[in-house]
Amino acid sequence: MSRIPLTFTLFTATACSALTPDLSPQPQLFEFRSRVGWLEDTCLAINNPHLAAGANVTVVRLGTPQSIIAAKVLKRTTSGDECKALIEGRRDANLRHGAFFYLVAVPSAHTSGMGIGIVGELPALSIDNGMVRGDLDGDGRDEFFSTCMTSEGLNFAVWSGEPYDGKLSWSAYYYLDYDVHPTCPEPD
Amino acid sequence: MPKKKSGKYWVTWANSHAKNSKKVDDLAEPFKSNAKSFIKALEDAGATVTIGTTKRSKKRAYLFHWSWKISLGICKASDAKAMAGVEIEWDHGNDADSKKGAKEMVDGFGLAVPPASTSAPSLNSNHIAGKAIDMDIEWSGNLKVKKKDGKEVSVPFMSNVNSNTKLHNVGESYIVKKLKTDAPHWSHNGH
Repeated sequence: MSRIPLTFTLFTATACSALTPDLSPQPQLFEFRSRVGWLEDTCLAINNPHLAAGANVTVVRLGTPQSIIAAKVLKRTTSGDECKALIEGRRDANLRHGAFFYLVAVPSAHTSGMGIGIVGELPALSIDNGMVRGDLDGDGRDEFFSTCMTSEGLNFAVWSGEPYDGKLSWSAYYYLDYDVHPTCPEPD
Repeated sequence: MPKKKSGKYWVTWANSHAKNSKKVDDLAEPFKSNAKSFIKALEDAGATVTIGTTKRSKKRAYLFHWSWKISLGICKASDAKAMAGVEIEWDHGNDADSKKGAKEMVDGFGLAVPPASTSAPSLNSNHIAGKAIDMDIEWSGNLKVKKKDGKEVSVPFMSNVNSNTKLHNVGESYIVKKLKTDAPHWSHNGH
């Protein structure tokens, strides 16, 4: 008795997919960990040791409003003179857990501020109500970008859906080594 | 001693005269003893503990705080309070030069500024009071670590220490409490 419905179900499923192909967006493999990093000024921190000079980086500057800037990798660096995240006191914490640091070239009017950098070719990003959005992973849902202050650092995040409401796709922490009043929402 | 105007000089001065500590021995009691006991338990169990900052310099925090506020025009140089042992002249005689001197310090210290950072560096904190420690704790697999009462618990390694509630519970038994927003930060009260 139990084999008949199973066979019928399998046949139906096969037949349906053949007759009506699924046209909904299919998620593509998007390696958030190796393609997304955070920026301070012109310094990119990312879990990727293989970025070549000249590689394209799309920078989302996290101001109000947010903005989109095209940048290119210049070189890898370990210098605190080039990256504030590598000055004494912060260096060890920020190098921990696999972060690599790169200098990037950005237009001269956009050299300062915090941001999130995405390496490589991307689908089109847009700015809506002051927030950058775009479907990075092709799942039909736009990614959004955010930053906030913790008690002694900054959190950067990419969300599938709106910040603090959607699903967290990527996050990183920048240790500042001084105390500030936090602005991040309290964790659960 | 004559006062020295704000500017790059104070970055160099702070880096030799107002450094943060990386020594557990510089913490205040009873947090110092509690932190030592917690660290010993972790190391006895096979974890590697890398100490970052322990006690932060109050003088350094003072220079951070007022340079940030003056450079951004949130406060005038004349608003800055004096601090014993830091003979700095914030007021250059005009706002533009006072802001410029403060800005040199903000840049030299690498302070985060708006829009990403809207909070001034704090004048007081658990670190400044010697009641907080930043440290990285690493191990492989499950750590069999003793709580303060001697009971052994198994704690799996998690790359996001903020989510490792089992580790937080062990720390709490030593009154070393995790702040869940900042990966390296533990303190006497979790803040």
